[in-house]
Amino acid sequence: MKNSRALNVLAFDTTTSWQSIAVCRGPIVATRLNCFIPSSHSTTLMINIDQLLKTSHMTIHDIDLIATSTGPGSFTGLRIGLTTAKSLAFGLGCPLVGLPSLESMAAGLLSHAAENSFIIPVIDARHSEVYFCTYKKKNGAVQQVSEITVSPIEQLVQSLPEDVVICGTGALTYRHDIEQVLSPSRIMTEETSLFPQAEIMAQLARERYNSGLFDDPVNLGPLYIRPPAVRMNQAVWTEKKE
Amino acid sequence: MNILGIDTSCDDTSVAVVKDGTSVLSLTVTSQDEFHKKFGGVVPEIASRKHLELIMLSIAETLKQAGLSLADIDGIAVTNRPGLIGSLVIGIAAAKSLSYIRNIPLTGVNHLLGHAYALALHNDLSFPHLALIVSGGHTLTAIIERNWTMKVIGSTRDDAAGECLDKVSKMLGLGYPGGKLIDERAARGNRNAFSFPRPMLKDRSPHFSFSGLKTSVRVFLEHVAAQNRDYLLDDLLASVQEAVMDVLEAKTRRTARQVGLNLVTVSGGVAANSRLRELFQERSEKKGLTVLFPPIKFCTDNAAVIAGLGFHHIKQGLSSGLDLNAEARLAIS
Repeated sequence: MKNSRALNVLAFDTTTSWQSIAVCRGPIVATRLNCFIPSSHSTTLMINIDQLLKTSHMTIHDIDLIATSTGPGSFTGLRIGLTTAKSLAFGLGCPLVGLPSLESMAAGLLSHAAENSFIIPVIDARHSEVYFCTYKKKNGAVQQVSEITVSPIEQLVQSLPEDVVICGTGALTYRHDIEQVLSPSRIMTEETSLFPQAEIMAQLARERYNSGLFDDPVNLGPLYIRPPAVRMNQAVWTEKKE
Repeated sequence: MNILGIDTSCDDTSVAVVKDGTSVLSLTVTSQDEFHKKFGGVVPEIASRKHLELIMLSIAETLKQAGLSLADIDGIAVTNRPGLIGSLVIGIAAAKSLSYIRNIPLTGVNHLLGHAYALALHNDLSFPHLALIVSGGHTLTAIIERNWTMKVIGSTRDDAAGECLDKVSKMLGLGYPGGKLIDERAARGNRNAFSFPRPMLKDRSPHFSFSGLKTSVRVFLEHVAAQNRDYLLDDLLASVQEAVMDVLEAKTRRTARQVGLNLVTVSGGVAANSRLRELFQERSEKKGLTVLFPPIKFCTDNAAVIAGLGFHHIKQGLSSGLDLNAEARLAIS
């Protein structure tokens, strides 16, 4: 590993309808992209990575560490991002850090939360359900204090702690329900609170890597949280038409 | 020129390294049948999950088996059409990343043309020739040109031939995939025991149709159940299989005559069927056609044919950009 200079990190998230990519030199964000790309991560991700590297006057071979989201989120988007990250890390022989999307979202809200207060990022999981996880701000960092869960929004609303800020697409979709129990000022739904910010991911990944925590590109897997939707005796033949 | 081929179009994760379009240095195919069979068919979400689990492992293992590293690869070929979108994008994402790192050509390959290429791995083919591509997802005849482009002549109007067999197998509670099971049991049965319709055989068009045959089997089963009649399952399977294979051979032979081609290749999963091979030998060959079948392991989905075909695409300068897209269907006829 190139120790003589700052760690160059490429981070990206494709688990929502937004695509977030950041190229960082140590703590400095060289270039970032946050754009709304519903359902076309496959055709745009590598092109955008290439463009950001060029704008940063770097090539992919200057990258020392790759960070990506392991979910939960959109299944297809998650798989595209994860496959891309695994393949890049495998091909480059560089370390890879997989981060739960909810953790990156929570870390993005640290400046909005008081020490020892709670942060709950909520992702719209469709079918009237949300993915969420409870984090606590501890020593200026996020600490996970619950399992990542998928449940109906009512379950989350009923169990909200008092001192909490909420963000994510789930907070946007179910704002009305959440406002019944929480002050609107604690519900963060501006665009940058809706999806994992790659520059935050890069920072989390760097910290993790510096503590010796990183993943194996061949074996890193996703956090789907929800099992595949399969109805028994479902006729799937039309799908098999390649 | 070493080409790394990747195919994740349906329910098999396959990776291969092929040198100069014909020499298969390594090939891995990881079947997901175990995970799909309890549902009686391919479940797209399960297929996508398995591909993600397997893709890097397959690439690493295939390179290892070839005794090569990524640095020895000169180009990457990946199936980008047709197939399950959620499955295709996984192979495509891996292919793009690896070609980007190495700065080597990437080419998107038509899975069906890949099936037809199976014959080129071991034969010195003449062009143009007629290909019958027949699997669980497709049934079509196409003229293959020297530059590896295809012009579809006939295609199925509804179910694929393999799909018809799979559905009959499911109807009888025999399991999935049905084609192989039926082939084995049919060998023990009397193929003339029952007479099932030969769909569109008398029709002069080059097209196929198999959904009616499946319905005939259902009607047959209802009929024998209502009358409390006994029948031998092997006889039934042999008779159904005969109807499918009879139509495939006869229509392909007629199409070859119509387009004036003497060389016919048969590929795709159903090309593994022993009765289909027999029929082409007994009838087509006797009538002056040359018919080639690939070895069984190159009939079903495999990345060796993708890498082989990709070699020709890359040699012709047909490389793809990083915006290479997955396409569920081919624009045909």
